[in-house]
Amino acid sequence: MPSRPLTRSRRVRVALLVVAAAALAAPAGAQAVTVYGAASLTAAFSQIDRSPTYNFAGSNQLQLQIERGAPADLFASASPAEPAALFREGRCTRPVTFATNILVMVTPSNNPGGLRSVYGLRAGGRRLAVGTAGVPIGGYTRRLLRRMQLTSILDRNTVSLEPNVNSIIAKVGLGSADAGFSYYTDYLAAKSRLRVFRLPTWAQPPVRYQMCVVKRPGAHTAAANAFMRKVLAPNGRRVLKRFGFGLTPRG
Amino acid sequence: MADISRGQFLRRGVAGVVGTVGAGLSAGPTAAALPAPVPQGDDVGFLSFGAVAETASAAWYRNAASTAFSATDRRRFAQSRAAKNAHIAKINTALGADAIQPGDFDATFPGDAFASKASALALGQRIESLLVGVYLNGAAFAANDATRLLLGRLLAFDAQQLAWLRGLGGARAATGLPIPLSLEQAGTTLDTLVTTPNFPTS
Repeated sequence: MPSRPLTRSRRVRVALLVVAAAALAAPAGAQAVTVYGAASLTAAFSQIDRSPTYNFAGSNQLQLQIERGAPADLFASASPAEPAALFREGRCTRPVTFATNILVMVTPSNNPGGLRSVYGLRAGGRRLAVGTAGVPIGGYTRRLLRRMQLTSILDRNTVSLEPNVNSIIAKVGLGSADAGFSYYTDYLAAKSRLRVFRLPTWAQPPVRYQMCVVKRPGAHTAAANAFMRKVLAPNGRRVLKRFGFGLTPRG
Repeated sequence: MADISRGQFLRRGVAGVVGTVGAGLSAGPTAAALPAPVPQGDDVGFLSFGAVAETASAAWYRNAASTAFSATDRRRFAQSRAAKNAHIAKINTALGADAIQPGDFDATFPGDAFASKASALALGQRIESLLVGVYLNGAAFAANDATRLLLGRLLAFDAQQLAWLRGLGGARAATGLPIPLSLEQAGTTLDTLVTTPNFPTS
């Protein structure tokens, strides 16, 4: 079939269509977003969206990196303290709460320390994996122990201080610690290697995850906002729920 | 030391008593003001438990006010609830950064808890017994004096509430002394009455 020559107006329309199609097809490619997330979000975030460049670590470490100019576009923290500090400093937008969690005690699945509950740690002589005081999991753990009048267990047992919850889970899962304190979601992610012990509801500190869009020269703000919308959208919430997170009412 | 007669001794004694009572009365409002508690060590545990259990207790008084009690009782429930909320505020002030925030915990009572006066009172007494038991422990063992005083005042209030609720249930005024409870003991019961909102129970 002989092809019809394109008129000028047709050529313009085709060009516009090509540009529009390209814009719709590759918005992420145009603005690759970098997400700095709390270690406990590793599995869930990767499931919500595989395309961002992720940096998972302790929330306090990530806050420090952002303050020093690291190329983050979105920051998701395991506690409100870190994003609140960045917001106060004008380094990110107003933080949004998107998930909750609770603390549990985990032991290796064969429970070599013979623990029956957290109160068993009062006897001392066990190896404990606990977050450092600066990282959210460490702060939450200390708060819970204060409420339960169990801070003495940090003196009576051999404590290894871990920089984030992933290393607590790794240490307990490998049997290098008799017990550790982690989030419920991290237990779920490694439950074949772990045994879980529920901690009292009344003593639970409120574990709230917040995220904010980082403000810095050259930040991919539109892409960061798009990622935030993905996390808050029904599918994002379904993924978070599947990984064991609690959800706040939709605002 | 100079000898004094029996009359002088009695007069001085009376003057001393009058002086002490008079000073106490005139200093009443000042003496009633509570020094600011500065919780130390395990004190935070007594206060944190108190804040959560008082939250459950305030919720009980709110629910009880809509149960089939007399108008007089319902008025007192409302007053008690207001007092409980004031206690939570005082405890939270003492806790500072460790304060329990509104929304951290929800009270969850069994479905039939308020089906009858008897079941409602049984639950109310259970909560007050927890508070009295833990405050009794705290008033004896809190490290900080002002915290101990706060816990003692809370104990006095809740012991009265417990006696009143027992009286409403038909019990005689004195039905045994409450026993001190450890947080481990009391926490097991309290855990059946509170949940953390926005988190599925595991």
